[in-house]
Order: sequence, then C-alpha cells, then structure tokens
Amino acid sequence: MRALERIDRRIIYLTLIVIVAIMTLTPAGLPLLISRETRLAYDTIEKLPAGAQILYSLDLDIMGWLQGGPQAIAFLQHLLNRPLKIVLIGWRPDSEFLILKTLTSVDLKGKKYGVDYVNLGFVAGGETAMAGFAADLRKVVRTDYGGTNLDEIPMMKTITSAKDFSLVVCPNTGEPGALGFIRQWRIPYNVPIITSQPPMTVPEFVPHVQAGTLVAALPAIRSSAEYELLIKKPGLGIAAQDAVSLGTLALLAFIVIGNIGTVWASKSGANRK
Amino acid sequence: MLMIADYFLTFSGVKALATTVQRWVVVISTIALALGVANITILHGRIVLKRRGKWYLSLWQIFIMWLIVVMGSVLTTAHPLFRLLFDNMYLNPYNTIVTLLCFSTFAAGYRALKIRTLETAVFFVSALFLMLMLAPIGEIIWAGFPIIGRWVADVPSVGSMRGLMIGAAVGLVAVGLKTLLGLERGWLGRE
Repeated sequence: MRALERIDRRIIYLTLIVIVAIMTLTPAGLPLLISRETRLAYDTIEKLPAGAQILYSLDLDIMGWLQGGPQAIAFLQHLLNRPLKIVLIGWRPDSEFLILKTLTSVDLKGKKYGVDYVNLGFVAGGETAMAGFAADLRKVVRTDYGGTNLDEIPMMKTITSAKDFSLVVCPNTGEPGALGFIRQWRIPYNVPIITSQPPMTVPEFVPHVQAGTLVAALPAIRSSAEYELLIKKPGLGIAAQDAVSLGTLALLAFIVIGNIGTVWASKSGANRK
Repeated sequence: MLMIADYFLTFSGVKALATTVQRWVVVISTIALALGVANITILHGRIVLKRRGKWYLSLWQIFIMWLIVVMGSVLTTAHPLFRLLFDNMYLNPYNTIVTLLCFSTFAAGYRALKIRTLETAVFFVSALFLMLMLAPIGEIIWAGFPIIGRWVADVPSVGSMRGLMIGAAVGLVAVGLKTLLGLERGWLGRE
C-alpha cells in the first residue's frame, strides 16, 4: 500500500495519454449544461440592435490560443450571424496572426469586408493606444490591416471613437486586455464589455462582473463548448470536453489513491512505534 | 500628470495634448519592436561570431527571425506561405510544448495534494468542487457540484481576490504618487 503514495510518474503520464487519446478519437458526447454567464454573454449579443457597431479585440497570445481560441472563434461566429458591424483589432503582436486565423475559421455568412466588418490588425502601444483609440481612433490608426485608408472604408465613416461602439468583445490573456478596456472604455465611455479568460484568471474578473463594469467573464475552455452549443456550431470546444471530464476524474482518482497511500503509510509508521 | 489630468478633466487643450502624447507612445512602441529585433540580432550574432556554446542555435534563431520578418514584409502576413510557416513552425510547436505542461501539472497534483492538515483538507475540498464545476462530468455525477463550486468561486475566492486587488491598487497609488513627486527614483537607476 505504500507504493500508492509513490506511483511512478510514467504510469500517471501514460494514463493521461490513453484517456485523452480515447476521448478525442471516440468522444462519448457527455451532456453539457449552459452556465449563467455564458447565457448572459450570448443574450447580450442577441439583443443588440441591427447595425450596432462592435469592437472585437482579440488579445490572445500564442500560448493563450490553445485555451481561448475556440471561444474567440465562437464569439466571432455569433457576431457574424447577426446583422452587426464588426471592427477587429489586436493590441498584442501575435493578435494580427490570430485575427487572420480566426477569420479563416468562421463562416462569414456572406458578409462583405469594409461594409460589415473591417480588420485593423495589430496596434502597438498597449493600454495607451487603447485610450487614444477610444478618444479618437484616427489619431492612433489611419489604415486597416491591408493599408486602406479608414476614410475609404464605408463602415468606418460613422465610427470615430469609443462612443460609436455598442459593445466590446474581448477574448484575452494578459495585458492590456479586459482590464485595460474597463479602465479606458467602460469607465470613461460606458461601453459594455464581454470577455473570456483562462479559467485560473477568471476570479480576478468576477469582482468586476459583480460591480457591473463587465457584462460577463467566461472561463475559456468550458464556456467555448457551451457557446458552440448556443450558436449551434460544434467545434473544438465541444470536442475537448469529454477529454477534460475524464482527465479531471483521473486526476482526482490519483489524488485519492495518493492520500490512501499516505494515510496507510502514517498508520504503519505509528503502529511500528 | 498630463494623463491623470486628461482622465479627470474635460478641457479641450488638455485632451489635445494628451492625444498627441498617446500617439507618440504608439510610435515609440512600434519602434521598440524593431529595436528588439536589432538587439536579438546583435546578441546572437556575437555568439555566432565567437562560436560560444551552442552557437548553432543562435544562428538558427537569427535565420528564422529574419525569414519571418522578410516574408512578412514582402509577401504580407496574409500570404498562404507565411501562414504555413506561422502555423507549422510557431503556433503548433508552441502549443505542443505548452500542452506538455499538463503532464507535469497532473503529476504535481498527485504529489502535492496530500491531506495532512485542516488547511490542506479545505484546499483539497475547494479544488474538488471547482474542478468538477468546470468539467461537464461533475454535473452528471451530482447536481450539487456546480452549485457548491459556483459558491466557492463567487464568494470566498472573489472576496479574497477583491482584498488583494484593493490592496494592490492602494499600493500602486502610493508608488505612483511617490514617483510623480520625485520621492521614488528607482526607475532612474538611483537608489
């Protein structure tokens, strides 16, 4: 029984590999309940009036794409499903590539570039640029991602500052991200914000949700699956949930086994004394 | 001081000046990226020229960095060849390396979560409910897992996070005031 306390880590790794491989290749299709936060984010976007202007700010880095990518794709797909005007932007160097990757992963639903959506690419300067963009976006960005002057893009003619946006959707990891938007967009200009975060950083944003400065802060992995169910477009989020479920159970099983071994070991040690 | 004034005041002169400064920051940030590329080239170039240690890795670093820079500039980042390189040499390998973390996290959870005291017991029970709140199988096993997990996430966790945030914010205001008043000179390289 003492061996339970010191299971070879290769056995642990092999168990995890087998579980994830089986669940990925033959998903069980475990049912999924929609959480209150995901429903709130979805309803907020559903209730936007036709023609509303939305800022989609993809502030993921490469490392965050694994967790936040499916949610980012689901958010953008939902925005494209509705008759909205979407401005895509990123404040991190990796954002530009990930915006393009997200655009190639969604169904554009016949939306026209320059009329229904525009990609402004990466803007350097972090939160300072975010603040400048909110005050007068043409002072910070003159052209779109492809080099076209903003004044030549039909949908940008009516957009000059944060006051012209109805919502910010911000899948992000790290700075400036949602906190920057709270400081520079929500407080001065009262623009609502929806964000998705890695699960371990969500507690940092829940006080903002409770205070009303954020509409919703979604834990990326789980909420991406829920969102895909809501928009009826299954993707990587749902595909990962079975592996997440069984992996969690396996981890809990190993923890319980380890604790049984520890208790046994301490009792054996006490008996010998 | 200008940025603070811009945040709280509505004078058009202050706003115009603040906007100009914000544009300078955008320009300087863009130049800083180019400076970073130059610095890496110089740093690793010296290693290659002196054949120090694993110099071939530095040579590979310089080659890949400039390949991406040149391809992105000439072909643009939307070009299929650039996207192929980005996806297969950066995104996918990086994510593979990051995924390896899950193995060490798994093994660390097994080794570290040993219930020996009351505190570790509370920690384990909280972690149990939070993990089963996030995993879909939790609500299948017992409907109470997401409810209690939600309470743990929304009440004790948020309460302590709120305390940390307010404490950090108060500390930041103090440091900011000291910096603006010239009492804090560490950023100038002085003690």
